[in-house]
Amino acid sequence: MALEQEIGCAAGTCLGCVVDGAGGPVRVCREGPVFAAGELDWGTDR
Amino acid sequence: MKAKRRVVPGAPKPQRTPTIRRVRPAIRPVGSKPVVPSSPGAPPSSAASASSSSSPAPSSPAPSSPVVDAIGGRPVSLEVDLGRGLVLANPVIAASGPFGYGVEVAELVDLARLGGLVTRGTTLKPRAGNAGPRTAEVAAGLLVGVGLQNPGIDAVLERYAPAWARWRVPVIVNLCGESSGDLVDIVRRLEGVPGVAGVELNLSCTNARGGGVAFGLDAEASRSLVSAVRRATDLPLIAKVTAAAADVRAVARACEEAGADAISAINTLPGLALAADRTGPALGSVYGGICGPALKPVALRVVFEVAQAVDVPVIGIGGVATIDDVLDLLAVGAAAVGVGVAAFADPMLPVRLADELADACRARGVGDVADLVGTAQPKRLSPPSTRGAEYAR
Repeated sequence: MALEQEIGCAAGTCLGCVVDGAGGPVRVCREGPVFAAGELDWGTDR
Repeated sequence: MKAKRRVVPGAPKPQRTPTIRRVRPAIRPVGSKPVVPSSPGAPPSSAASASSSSSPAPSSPAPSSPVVDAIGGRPVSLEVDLGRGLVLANPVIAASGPFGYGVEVAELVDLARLGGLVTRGTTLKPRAGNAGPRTAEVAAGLLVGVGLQNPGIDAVLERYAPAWARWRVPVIVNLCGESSGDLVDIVRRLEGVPGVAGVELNLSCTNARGGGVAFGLDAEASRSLVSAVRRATDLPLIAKVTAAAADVRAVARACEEAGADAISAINTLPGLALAADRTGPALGSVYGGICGPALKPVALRVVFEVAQAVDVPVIGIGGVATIDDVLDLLAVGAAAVGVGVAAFADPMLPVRLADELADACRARGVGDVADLVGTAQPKRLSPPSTRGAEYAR
């Protein structure tokens, strides 16, 4: 899954682009933007 | 001038050995001798390594080493003493937020050249933060509603403090809590941890017992919070006040009297932006904090007022994006200046501003940056802004 998100700093510091991951919040700019489907929490809408 | 009203609450404690190594100035000219640090407790102005050409200090001995540095100017002393052994190599610090815990940008930015680094807001327990969107662009700034996402103080210290201890830059941990009990718990854990140079208390966090109103809006709530934390720690303690307070001077004074070593001003201001279709707010958290150049006039006003109200150093924060912003904040009385959201767009900005500040001192023939502090302060105390000065006449 390639995610799009509004990104503040693109360095992993501002936490503006986080989405719910399977194990807690993940940063699209740092842990992503490409995730395995199982890495994401599909239950909520961030 | 003003009467000294420093009150040390509680029983007198033995003076703590400073945790901060005397760090060398980031902008030491090549080939010159290192700046000799001032003795502890001495006013920062005594740290001048060389007298400037325009205002020679008769008491200081003439510099024995080269008086001309690599780029042909005189060496400039940029050191700032925030008290309790917290000495910054230069007045430019990374304000809380943009650099996270520092490790995120350590490979990108030469952190050692910063005066200091303030971590993102940290709480006792882990916090997941707000639902998105968390940022929205507004005119001349950014609206941010992260919601204090952080792994909690224990995880922060375990993961990041070892790195902080290796760095030359003093790391100041920004703390948020809903009660003085929370904050006392946190600072007890920080005591004696290598790499923690000081704490900054975010007075804008919500007071759980105060009906959901931020501590920093009320002088007495701020006083009791700061004094509780002061009793629990000997670390350098900075109180971060908010411009949302009706009388920020009273809040700053209360913090000083309660034992704060420095005041930082200001935090973001609460704001609102709408989603593009106007069916609701842009941010998941509804409200956000306004960052960026939009804040600068507010920051200038608050630093101007706070610097008149207290004798401790003031750290000016709000809308800093250029060297002129740095010089403006110094002129209204800030001893140090924090760079916030502008470091998102350009992570190198804080370090570059420190360089440019040294250049600005040289260009003005100033040997010590302290000479640029407070030049726009009034000769007499000016009335507080809350009177509505523009309508007074």
